[in-house]
Amino acid sequence: MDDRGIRRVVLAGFLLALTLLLVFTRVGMIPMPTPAGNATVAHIPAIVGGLLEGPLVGLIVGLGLGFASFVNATVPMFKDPMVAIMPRLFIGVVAALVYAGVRRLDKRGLLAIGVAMLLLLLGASWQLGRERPIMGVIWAAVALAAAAALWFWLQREDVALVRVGIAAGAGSLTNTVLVLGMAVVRAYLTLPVAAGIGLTHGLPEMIVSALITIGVVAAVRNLGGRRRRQAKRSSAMSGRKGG
Amino acid sequence: MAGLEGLRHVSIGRYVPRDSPVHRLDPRVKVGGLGVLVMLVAVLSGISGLAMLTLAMLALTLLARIGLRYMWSSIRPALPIIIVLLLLQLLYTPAQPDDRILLAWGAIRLTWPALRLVIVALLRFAALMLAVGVLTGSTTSGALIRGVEGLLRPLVRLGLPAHELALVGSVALRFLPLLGEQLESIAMAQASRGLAETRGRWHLVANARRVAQTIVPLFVDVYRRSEELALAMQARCYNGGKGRTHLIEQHLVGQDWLALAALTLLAALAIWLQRLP
Repeated sequence: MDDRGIRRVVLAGFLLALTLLLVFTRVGMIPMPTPAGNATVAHIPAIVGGLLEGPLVGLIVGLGLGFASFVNATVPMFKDPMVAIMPRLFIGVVAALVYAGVRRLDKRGLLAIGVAMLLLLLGASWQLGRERPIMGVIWAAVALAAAAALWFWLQREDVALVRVGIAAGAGSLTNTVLVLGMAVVRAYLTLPVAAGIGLTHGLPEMIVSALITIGVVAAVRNLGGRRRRQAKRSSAMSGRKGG
Repeated sequence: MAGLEGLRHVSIGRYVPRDSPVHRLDPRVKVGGLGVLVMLVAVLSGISGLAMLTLAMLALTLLARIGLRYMWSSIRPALPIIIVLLLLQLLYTPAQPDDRILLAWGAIRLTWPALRLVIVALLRFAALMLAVGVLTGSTTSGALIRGVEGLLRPLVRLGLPAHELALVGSVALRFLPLLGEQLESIAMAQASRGLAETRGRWHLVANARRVAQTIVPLFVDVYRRSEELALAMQARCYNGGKGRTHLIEQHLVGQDWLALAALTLLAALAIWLQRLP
Protein backbone atom coordinates (compact mmCIF):
# COMPACT_ATOMS: atom_id res chain seq x y z
CA MET A 1 0.00 0.00 0.00
CA ASP A 2 1.40 3.42 -0.93
CA ASP A 3 1.42 6.51 1.26
CA ARG A 4 -1.81 7.82 -0.18
CA GLY A 5 -3.46 4.46 0.54
CA ILE A 6 -2.41 4.50 4.19
CA ARG A 7 -3.67 8.06 4.63
CA ARG A 8 -6.98 7.14 3.07
CA VAL A 9 -7.49 4.10 5.26
CA VAL A 10 -6.57 5.98 8.43
CA LEU A 11 -8.69 9.05 7.64
CA ALA A 12 -11.63 6.79 6.79
CA GLY A 13 -11.21 5.09 10.17
CA PHE A 14 -11.14 8.40 12.02
CA LEU A 15 -14.13 9.82 10.20
CA LEU A 16 -15.99 6.58 10.89
CA ALA A 17 -15.25 7.00 14.59
CA LEU A 18 -16.50 10.58 14.41
CA THR A 19 -19.68 9.43 12.69
CA LEU A 20 -20.33 6.84 15.38
CA LEU A 21 -19.69 9.48 18.04
CA LEU A 22 -22.13 11.94 16.47
CA VAL A 23 -24.83 9.29 16.04
CA PHE A 24 -24.56 7.61 19.43
CA THR A 25 -24.12 10.67 21.65
CA ARG A 26 -26.68 12.89 19.94
CA VAL A 27 -24.17 15.74 20.04
CA GLY A 28 -24.79 16.24 16.34
CA MET A 29 -28.48 16.91 16.80
CA ILE A 30 -29.87 20.38 16.23
CA PRO A 31 -33.30 20.84 17.81
CA MET A 32 -35.91 21.97 15.27
CA PRO A 33 -39.42 23.33 15.59
CA THR A 34 -40.93 20.44 13.60
CA PRO A 35 -42.57 17.16 14.60
CA ALA A 36 -39.60 15.08 13.47
CA GLY A 37 -37.57 16.86 16.15
CA ASN A 38 -33.95 17.19 15.10
CA ALA A 39 -31.78 18.05 12.16
CA THR A 40 -28.61 16.01 12.05
CA VAL A 41 -25.00 16.74 11.20
CA ALA A 42 -23.96 13.09 11.46
CA HIS A 43 -23.66 12.78 7.70
CA ILE A 44 -20.98 15.49 7.49
CA PRO A 45 -18.02 13.13 8.09
CA ALA A 46 -19.09 11.18 5.00
CA ILE A 47 -19.14 14.41 2.98
CA VAL A 48 -15.76 15.52 4.33
CA GLY A 49 -14.30 12.09 3.59
CA GLY A 50 -15.57 12.26 0.03
CA LEU A 51 -14.19 15.77 -0.49
CA LEU A 52 -10.78 15.20 1.05
CA GLU A 53 -9.93 11.66 -0.05
CA GLY A 54 -12.32 10.67 -2.81
CA PRO A 55 -15.51 8.66 -3.33
CA LEU A 56 -14.22 5.40 -1.81
CA VAL A 57 -13.60 6.98 1.60
CA GLY A 58 -16.99 8.70 1.36
CA LEU A 59 -18.60 5.35 0.60
CA ILE A 60 -17.00 3.63 3.58
CA VAL A 61 -17.90 6.39 6.03
CA GLY A 62 -21.43 6.48 4.58
CA LEU A 63 -21.74 2.74 5.13
CA GLY A 64 -20.69 3.28 8.73
CA LEU A 65 -23.27 6.03 9.16
CA GLY A 66 -25.97 3.77 7.75
CA PHE A 67 -24.99 0.92 10.02
CA ALA A 68 -24.82 3.19 13.07
CA SER A 69 -28.22 4.73 12.45
CA PHE A 70 -29.58 1.25 11.80
CA VAL A 71 -28.26 -0.07 15.12
CA ASN A 72 -29.23 3.08 16.98
CA ALA A 73 -32.68 3.45 15.43
CA THR A 74 -35.62 4.01 17.72
CA VAL A 75 -38.29 4.22 15.03
CA PRO A 76 -39.29 1.24 12.87
CA MET A 77 -38.54 3.26 9.73
CA PHE A 78 -34.80 3.23 10.41
CA LYS A 79 -34.81 -0.42 11.46
CA ASP A 80 -35.20 -1.14 7.77
CA PRO A 81 -31.76 -1.44 6.13
CA MET A 82 -33.19 -0.22 2.84
CA VAL A 83 -33.96 3.14 4.51
CA ALA A 84 -31.19 3.33 7.09
CA ILE A 85 -28.18 1.97 5.21
CA MET A 86 -28.63 1.97 1.44
CA PRO A 87 -29.18 5.74 0.87
CA ARG A 88 -26.23 6.65 3.11
CA LEU A 89 -23.79 4.92 0.77
CA PHE A 90 -24.31 7.67 -1.78
CA ILE A 91 -23.73 10.74 0.42
CA GLY A 92 -19.95 10.81 0.24
CA VAL A 93 -19.87 9.47 -3.30
CA VAL A 94 -22.14 12.19 -4.65
CA ALA A 95 -20.26 14.87 -2.71
CA ALA A 96 -16.94 13.62 -4.13
CA LEU A 97 -18.24 13.43 -7.70
CA VAL A 98 -19.85 16.87 -7.57
CA TYR A 99 -16.64 18.27 -6.12
CA ALA A 100 -14.61 16.65 -8.90
CA GLY A 101 -17.07 18.19 -11.37
CA VAL A 102 -16.97 21.77 -10.08
CA ARG A 103 -13.33 21.71 -9.07
CA ARG A 104 -12.00 23.10 -12.35
CA LEU A 105 -14.74 25.70 -12.76
CA ASP A 106 -14.08 29.36 -12.15
CA LYS A 107 -16.62 31.92 -11.00
CA ARG A 108 -18.17 32.30 -14.44
CA GLY A 109 -18.54 28.54 -14.87
CA LEU A 110 -20.25 28.22 -11.49
CA LEU A 111 -22.63 31.05 -12.39
CA ALA A 112 -23.44 29.37 -15.70
CA ILE A 113 -24.28 26.12 -13.93
CA GLY A 114 -26.33 28.06 -11.39
CA VAL A 115 -28.35 29.70 -14.18
CA ALA A 116 -28.88 26.33 -15.89
CA MET A 117 -30.10 24.79 -12.62
CA LEU A 118 -32.39 27.76 -12.03
CA LEU A 119 -33.98 27.38 -15.47
CA LEU A 120 -34.39 23.64 -14.89
CA LEU A 121 -36.00 24.18 -11.49
CA LEU A 122 -38.28 26.93 -12.83
CA GLY A 123 -39.37 24.57 -15.61
CA ALA A 124 -40.10 21.89 -13.01
CA SER A 125 -42.08 24.35 -10.90
CA TRP A 126 -44.09 25.35 -13.99
CA GLN A 127 -44.96 21.70 -14.56
CA LEU A 128 -45.80 21.27 -10.87
CA GLY A 129 -47.78 24.50 -10.77
CA ARG A 130 -50.17 23.36 -13.47
CA GLU A 131 -51.47 20.62 -11.20
CA ARG A 132 -50.89 22.09 -7.76
CA PRO A 133 -50.43 25.87 -8.03
CA ILE A 134 -49.31 26.35 -4.40
CA MET A 135 -46.56 23.75 -4.62
CA GLY A 136 -45.42 25.28 -7.90
CA VAL A 137 -45.13 28.74 -6.36
CA ILE A 138 -43.24 27.40 -3.32
CA TRP A 139 -40.89 25.44 -5.57
CA ALA A 140 -40.22 28.47 -7.79
CA ALA A 141 -39.63 30.69 -4.75
CA VAL A 142 -37.16 28.19 -3.30
CA ALA A 143 -35.35 27.96 -6.64
CA LEU A 144 -35.12 31.75 -6.98
CA ALA A 145 -33.96 32.17 -3.40
CA ALA A 146 -31.29 29.52 -3.91
CA ALA A 147 -30.08 31.18 -7.10
CA ALA A 148 -29.96 34.59 -5.42
CA ALA A 149 -28.10 33.11 -2.46
CA LEU A 150 -25.56 31.50 -4.78
CA TRP A 151 -25.04 34.77 -6.62
CA PHE A 152 -24.49 36.84 -3.48
CA TRP A 153 -22.27 34.15 -2.07
CA LEU A 154 -20.09 34.14 -5.19
CA GLN A 155 -19.71 37.92 -4.92
CA ARG A 156 -18.56 37.78 -1.33
CA GLU A 157 -16.68 34.54 -0.90
CA ASP A 158 -13.62 32.81 -2.25
CA VAL A 159 -14.57 30.56 -5.20
CA ALA A 160 -12.71 27.60 -3.67
CA LEU A 161 -15.02 27.72 -0.66
CA VAL A 162 -18.13 28.02 -2.81
CA ARG A 163 -17.09 24.83 -4.64
CA VAL A 164 -16.75 23.00 -1.33
CA GLY A 165 -20.11 24.35 -0.19
CA ILE A 166 -21.85 23.23 -3.37
CA ALA A 167 -20.42 19.72 -3.10
CA ALA A 168 -21.36 19.51 0.58
CA GLY A 169 -24.89 20.72 -0.16
CA ALA A 170 -25.23 18.10 -2.89
CA GLY A 171 -24.11 15.39 -0.46
CA SER A 172 -26.57 16.52 2.17
CA LEU A 173 -29.36 16.73 -0.38
CA THR A 174 -28.56 13.16 -1.45
CA ASN A 175 -29.09 12.03 2.12
CA THR A 176 -32.43 13.83 2.48
CA VAL A 177 -33.85 12.85 -0.89
CA LEU A 178 -32.79 9.21 -0.86
CA VAL A 179 -33.77 8.50 2.75
CA LEU A 180 -37.19 10.10 2.38
CA GLY A 181 -37.60 8.57 -1.07
CA MET A 182 -36.89 5.08 0.27
CA ALA A 183 -39.23 5.75 3.20
CA VAL A 184 -41.98 6.55 0.71
CA VAL A 185 -41.16 3.54 -1.47
CA ARG A 186 -41.21 1.23 1.55
CA ALA A 187 -44.50 2.87 2.67
CA TYR A 188 -43.35 4.28 6.02
CA LEU A 189 -44.32 7.80 4.98
CA THR A 190 -46.75 9.25 2.48
CA LEU A 191 -45.44 11.52 -0.25
CA PRO A 192 -46.81 14.84 1.16
CA VAL A 193 -45.40 14.07 4.62
CA ALA A 194 -42.01 13.23 3.11
CA ALA A 195 -42.07 16.42 1.04
CA GLY A 196 -42.86 18.42 4.18
CA ILE A 197 -39.99 16.85 6.12
CA GLY A 198 -37.73 17.40 3.12
CA LEU A 199 -38.50 21.12 3.02
CA THR A 200 -38.37 21.79 6.76
CA HIS A 201 -35.40 19.54 7.54
CA GLY A 202 -33.58 19.01 4.27
CA LEU A 203 -32.96 22.70 3.58
CA PRO A 204 -31.62 23.69 7.02
CA GLU A 205 -29.55 20.51 7.11
CA MET A 206 -28.15 21.36 3.70
CA ILE A 207 -27.17 24.87 4.73
CA VAL A 208 -25.67 23.77 8.04
CA SER A 209 -23.68 20.95 6.45
CA ALA A 210 -22.39 23.26 3.73
CA LEU A 211 -21.22 25.75 6.37
CA ILE A 212 -19.60 23.15 8.63
CA THR A 213 -17.92 21.38 5.71
CA ILE A 214 -16.56 24.69 4.46
CA GLY A 215 -15.18 25.37 7.92
CA VAL A 216 -13.51 21.99 8.09
CA VAL A 217 -12.11 21.83 4.57
CA ALA A 218 -10.93 25.43 4.70
CA ALA A 219 -9.12 24.75 7.93
CA VAL A 220 -7.32 21.59 6.84
CA ARG A 221 -6.64 22.67 3.26
CA ASN A 222 -5.81 26.30 4.07
CA LEU A 223 -8.44 27.68 1.69
CA GLY A 224 -10.30 30.93 1.90
CA GLY A 225 -7.38 33.31 1.93
CA ARG A 226 -9.44 36.30 0.82
CA ARG A 227 -11.93 36.17 3.67
CA ARG A 228 -9.22 35.41 6.17
CA ARG A 229 -7.08 38.34 5.01
CA GLN A 230 -10.09 40.63 5.24
CA ALA A 231 -10.86 39.35 8.73
CA LYS A 232 -7.26 39.93 9.77
CA ARG A 233 -7.30 43.45 8.39
CA SER A 234 -10.58 44.37 10.07
CA SER A 235 -9.60 42.81 13.37
CA ALA A 236 -6.32 44.71 13.27
CA MET A 237 -8.24 47.94 12.81
CA SER A 238 -11.11 47.48 15.23
CA GLY A 239 -9.68 45.10 17.79
CA ARG A 240 -11.13 41.66 18.42
CA LYS A 241 -14.81 41.44 19.12
CA GLY A 242 -15.85 38.84 21.70
CA GLY A 243 -17.22 35.46 20.69
CA MET B 1 -23.40 20.50 28.96
CA ALA B 2 -24.91 17.98 31.36
CA GLY B 3 -25.08 15.18 28.83
CA LEU B 4 -21.39 15.36 28.13
CA GLU B 5 -20.07 13.68 31.24
CA GLY B 6 -19.27 10.06 30.66
CA LEU B 7 -18.93 10.59 26.93
CA ARG B 8 -15.60 8.82 27.06
CA HIS B 9 -17.38 5.63 27.97
CA VAL B 10 -19.11 5.54 24.62
CA SER B 11 -19.46 1.99 23.45
CA ILE B 12 -21.60 0.39 20.82
CA GLY B 13 -23.61 -2.38 22.37
CA ARG B 14 -21.47 -3.06 25.40
CA TYR B 15 -19.64 -6.44 25.48
CA VAL B 16 -20.88 -8.72 28.24
CA PRO B 17 -18.16 -11.18 29.27
CA ARG B 18 -19.72 -14.61 29.86
CA ASP B 19 -18.73 -18.20 29.22
CA SER B 20 -21.44 -19.37 26.86
CA PRO B 21 -21.65 -21.38 23.63
CA VAL B 22 -22.57 -18.17 21.79
CA HIS B 23 -19.49 -16.37 23.10
CA ARG B 24 -17.28 -19.24 21.93
CA LEU B 25 -18.60 -19.26 18.36
CA ASP B 26 -16.35 -18.20 15.51
CA PRO B 27 -16.92 -14.46 14.94
CA ARG B 28 -17.28 -15.07 11.20
CA VAL B 29 -20.30 -17.27 11.87
CA LYS B 30 -21.84 -14.66 14.15
CA VAL B 31 -21.33 -11.72 11.80
CA GLY B 32 -22.55 -13.70 8.80
CA GLY B 33 -25.51 -14.92 10.81
CA LEU B 34 -26.50 -11.36 11.64
CA GLY B 35 -26.29 -10.50 7.94
CA VAL B 36 -28.61 -13.36 7.02
CA LEU B 37 -31.05 -12.43 9.79
CA VAL B 38 -31.16 -8.77 8.79
CA MET B 39 -31.96 -9.79 5.23
CA LEU B 40 -34.65 -12.22 6.36
CA VAL B 41 -36.27 -9.68 8.65
CA ALA B 42 -36.23 -7.00 5.95
CA VAL B 43 -37.70 -9.28 3.29
CA LEU B 44 -40.28 -11.26 5.26
CA SER B 45 -43.62 -9.65 5.95
CA GLY B 46 -45.65 -12.51 7.49
CA ILE B 47 -46.48 -12.30 11.17
CA SER B 48 -45.81 -15.97 11.92
CA GLY B 49 -42.38 -16.02 10.30
CA LEU B 50 -41.28 -12.81 12.07
CA ALA B 51 -42.67 -14.03 15.38
CA MET B 52 -40.72 -17.25 14.98
CA LEU B 53 -37.51 -15.29 14.29
CA THR B 54 -38.12 -13.08 17.32
CA LEU B 55 -38.60 -16.12 19.54
CA ALA B 56 -35.44 -17.69 18.12
CA MET B 57 -33.48 -14.51 18.93
CA LEU B 58 -34.94 -14.52 22.43
CA ALA B 59 -33.77 -18.11 22.87
CA LEU B 60 -30.33 -17.12 21.58
CA THR B 61 -30.16 -14.27 24.10
CA LEU B 62 -30.88 -16.73 26.90
CA LEU B 63 -28.35 -19.19 25.49
CA ALA B 64 -25.70 -16.45 25.43
CA ARG B 65 -26.57 -15.68 29.09
CA ILE B 66 -26.55 -11.99 28.25
CA GLY B 67 -29.62 -11.33 30.32
CA LEU B 68 -32.90 -9.83 29.26
CA ARG B 69 -32.39 -6.88 31.58
CA TYR B 70 -29.40 -5.78 29.48
CA MET B 71 -31.51 -6.00 26.31
CA TRP B 72 -34.39 -4.20 27.98
CA SER B 73 -32.15 -1.36 29.11
CA SER B 74 -31.14 -0.69 25.51
CA ILE B 75 -34.74 -0.65 24.27
CA ARG B 76 -36.41 1.19 27.13
CA PRO B 77 -35.39 4.80 26.32
CA ALA B 78 -36.92 4.45 22.89
CA LEU B 79 -40.17 2.94 24.06
CA PRO B 80 -42.36 6.08 24.37
CA ILE B 81 -41.49 7.23 20.84
CA ILE B 82 -42.17 3.78 19.42
CA ILE B 83 -45.54 3.56 21.12
CA VAL B 84 -46.65 7.00 19.95
CA LEU B 85 -45.55 6.30 16.37
CA LEU B 86 -47.26 2.95 16.28
CA LEU B 87 -50.47 4.45 17.68
CA LEU B 88 -50.38 7.14 15.01
CA GLN B 89 -49.88 4.54 12.34
CA LEU B 90 -52.68 2.45 13.80
CA LEU B 91 -55.14 5.32 13.72
CA TYR B 92 -54.16 7.11 10.56
CA THR B 93 -53.69 4.29 8.09
CA PRO B 94 -56.41 5.06 5.55
CA ALA B 95 -59.13 2.40 5.57
CA GLN B 96 -60.11 0.71 2.34
CA PRO B 97 -63.83 0.04 1.89
CA ASP B 98 -63.52 -3.75 2.02
CA ASP B 99 -61.17 -3.92 5.03
CA ARG B 100 -62.26 -5.89 8.03
CA ILE B 101 -63.03 -3.38 10.77
CA LEU B 102 -62.06 -4.57 14.22
CA LEU B 103 -63.17 -1.60 16.23
CA ALA B 104 -65.22 1.45 15.41
CA TRP B 105 -65.45 4.17 18.00
CA GLY B 106 -66.57 7.60 16.88
CA ALA B 107 -64.33 8.73 14.06
CA ILE B 108 -61.72 6.10 14.92
CA ARG B 109 -61.72 2.94 12.87
CA LEU B 110 -59.28 0.20 13.67
CA THR B 111 -58.82 -2.02 10.64
CA TRP B 112 -57.08 -5.35 10.37
CA PRO B 113 -54.49 -4.23 7.75
CA ALA B 114 -53.44 -1.32 9.96
CA LEU B 115 -53.09 -3.57 12.99
CA ARG B 116 -51.14 -6.05 10.88
CA LEU B 117 -48.70 -3.35 9.75
CA VAL B 118 -48.09 -2.33 13.35
CA ILE B 119 -47.53 -5.90 14.53
CA VAL B 120 -45.08 -6.53 11.67
CA ALA B 121 -43.15 -3.35 12.47
CA LEU B 122 -42.96 -4.28 16.16
CA LEU B 123 -41.77 -7.82 15.44
CA ARG B 124 -39.14 -6.59 12.99
CA PHE B 125 -37.89 -4.12 15.56
CA ALA B 126 -37.75 -6.72 18.34
CA ALA B 127 -35.99 -9.35 16.22
CA LEU B 128 -33.33 -6.90 14.99
CA MET B 129 -32.76 -5.35 18.43
CA LEU B 130 -32.22 -8.79 19.92
CA ALA B 131 -29.99 -9.99 17.07
CA VAL B 132 -27.74 -6.91 17.21
CA GLY B 133 -27.70 -7.08 21.00
CA VAL B 134 -26.63 -10.73 21.02
CA LEU B 135 -23.86 -10.08 18.51
CA THR B 136 -22.35 -7.05 20.23
CA GLY B 137 -22.95 -8.50 23.69
CA SER B 138 -21.18 -11.76 22.95
CA THR B 139 -18.33 -10.58 20.72
CA THR B 140 -15.40 -8.34 21.59
CA SER B 141 -14.66 -5.53 19.14
CA GLY B 142 -11.42 -7.23 18.11
CA ALA B 143 -13.22 -10.47 17.31
CA LEU B 144 -15.89 -8.51 15.44
CA ILE B 145 -13.23 -6.95 13.21
CA ARG B 146 -11.60 -10.35 12.66
CA GLY B 147 -14.98 -11.78 11.76
CA VAL B 148 -15.66 -9.09 9.17
CA GLU B 149 -12.18 -9.46 7.71
CA GLY B 150 -12.52 -13.23 7.55
CA LEU B 151 -15.88 -12.98 5.81
CA LEU B 152 -14.52 -10.53 3.25
CA ARG B 153 -11.41 -12.59 2.54
CA PRO B 154 -12.93 -14.56 -0.38
CA LEU B 155 -13.68 -11.24 -2.09
CA VAL B 156 -10.03 -10.17 -2.06
CA ARG B 157 -9.56 -11.94 -5.38
CA LEU B 158 -12.21 -9.65 -6.87
CA GLY B 159 -10.16 -6.66 -5.79
CA LEU B 160 -11.95 -5.89 -2.54
CA PRO B 161 -9.46 -4.63 0.07
CA ALA B 162 -10.66 -6.81 2.97
CA HIS B 163 -7.70 -6.11 5.22
CA GLU B 164 -7.91 -2.38 4.64
CA LEU B 165 -11.64 -2.32 5.42
CA ALA B 166 -11.00 -4.23 8.62
CA LEU B 167 -8.26 -1.72 9.46
CA VAL B 168 -10.72 1.14 8.95
CA GLY B 169 -13.02 -0.57 11.42
CA SER B 170 -10.35 -1.14 14.01
CA VAL B 171 -9.03 2.44 13.75
CA ALA B 172 -12.59 3.66 14.27
CA LEU B 173 -13.22 1.47 17.31
CA ARG B 174 -9.81 2.23 18.78
CA PHE B 175 -10.13 6.01 18.51
CA LEU B 176 -13.81 6.32 19.36
CA PRO B 177 -13.24 6.74 23.13
CA LEU B 178 -10.39 9.16 22.44
CA LEU B 179 -12.58 11.33 20.22
CA GLY B 180 -15.26 11.20 22.88
CA GLU B 181 -12.80 12.60 25.36
CA GLN B 182 -11.71 15.23 22.85
CA LEU B 183 -15.31 16.24 22.21
CA GLU B 184 -15.82 16.59 25.94
CA SER B 185 -12.86 18.91 26.36
CA ILE B 186 -13.78 21.00 23.30
CA ALA B 187 -17.32 21.38 24.62
CA MET B 188 -16.01 22.43 28.02
CA ALA B 189 -13.52 24.83 26.51
CA GLN B 190 -16.26 26.45 24.44
CA ALA B 191 -18.57 26.56 27.45
CA SER B 192 -15.89 28.30 29.48
CA ARG B 193 -15.70 30.93 26.74
CA GLY B 194 -19.40 31.53 27.21
CA LEU B 195 -20.79 29.45 24.37
CA ALA B 196 -24.54 29.26 24.75
CA GLU B 197 -26.32 26.18 26.03
CA THR B 198 -28.80 24.42 23.79
CA ARG B 199 -31.77 26.72 23.44
CA GLY B 200 -35.38 26.02 22.62
CA ARG B 201 -36.44 24.60 19.29
CA TRP B 202 -37.06 28.00 17.73
CA HIS B 203 -33.51 29.27 18.19
CA LEU B 204 -32.47 27.59 14.98
CA VAL B 205 -29.47 29.66 14.07
CA ALA B 206 -28.14 29.77 17.62
CA ASN B 207 -28.38 26.00 17.94
CA ALA B 208 -26.76 25.37 14.57
CA ARG B 209 -23.93 27.73 15.48
CA ARG B 210 -23.43 26.01 18.81
CA VAL B 211 -23.16 22.61 17.10
CA ALA B 212 -20.79 24.01 14.48
CA GLN B 213 -18.54 25.59 17.09
CA THR B 214 -18.13 22.24 18.77
CA ILE B 215 -17.82 20.08 15.69
CA VAL B 216 -15.51 22.05 13.42
CA PRO B 217 -12.60 21.95 15.93
CA LEU B 218 -13.29 18.24 16.39
CA PHE B 219 -13.03 17.66 12.66
CA VAL B 220 -9.78 19.57 12.42
CA ASP B 221 -8.43 17.58 15.35
CA VAL B 222 -9.50 14.35 13.64
CA TYR B 223 -7.65 15.36 10.50
CA ARG B 224 -4.49 16.22 12.42
CA ARG B 225 -4.54 12.95 14.35
CA SER B 226 -5.11 10.90 11.22
CA GLU B 227 -2.15 12.57 9.51
CA GLU B 228 -0.01 11.73 12.53
CA LEU B 229 -1.15 8.12 12.62
CA ALA B 230 -0.59 7.68 8.86
CA LEU B 231 2.92 9.12 9.23
CA ALA B 232 3.65 6.80 12.14
CA MET B 233 2.46 3.79 10.15
CA GLN B 234 4.56 4.78 7.15
CA ALA B 235 7.56 5.19 9.40
CA ARG B 236 7.06 1.60 10.58
CA CYS B 237 6.85 0.31 7.01
CA TYR B 238 3.21 -0.72 7.18
CA ASN B 239 2.24 -2.01 3.78
CA GLY B 240 -1.26 -3.34 3.99
CA GLY B 241 -2.60 -6.87 4.06
CA LYS B 242 -0.28 -8.35 1.47
CA GLY B 243 1.54 -11.41 2.85
CA ARG B 244 0.38 -10.73 6.38
CA THR B 245 -0.10 -13.54 8.90
CA HIS B 246 -2.27 -13.61 12.00
CA LEU B 247 -1.61 -14.45 15.62
CA ILE B 248 -4.97 -16.15 15.93
CA GLU B 249 -5.79 -18.55 13.09
CA GLN B 250 -9.51 -19.05 12.74
CA HIS B 251 -10.89 -22.52 12.01
CA LEU B 252 -14.50 -23.56 12.00
CA VAL B 253 -15.02 -26.34 14.57
CA GLY B 254 -18.00 -28.57 15.38
CA GLN B 255 -20.11 -25.99 17.19
CA ASP B 256 -19.67 -23.49 14.36
CA TRP B 257 -20.99 -26.00 11.82
CA LEU B 258 -23.84 -26.76 14.21
CA ALA B 259 -24.68 -23.05 14.42
CA LEU B 260 -24.59 -22.73 10.63
CA ALA B 261 -26.93 -25.72 10.30
CA ALA B 262 -29.30 -24.19 12.85
CA LEU B 263 -29.22 -20.89 10.97
CA THR B 264 -30.03 -22.58 7.67
CA LEU B 265 -32.90 -24.45 9.30
CA LEU B 266 -34.19 -21.22 10.85
CA ALA B 267 -34.07 -19.39 7.53
CA ALA B 268 -35.84 -22.23 5.71
CA LEU B 269 -38.52 -22.40 8.40
CA ALA B 270 -39.05 -18.63 8.33
CA ILE B 271 -39.43 -18.63 4.55
CA TRP B 272 -41.80 -21.61 4.73
CA LEU B 273 -43.90 -19.85 7.39
CA GLN B 274 -44.28 -16.95 4.98
CA ARG B 275 -47.03 -18.97 3.27
CA LEU B 276 -49.19 -18.69 6.39
CA PRO B 277 -50.89 -15.34 7.04
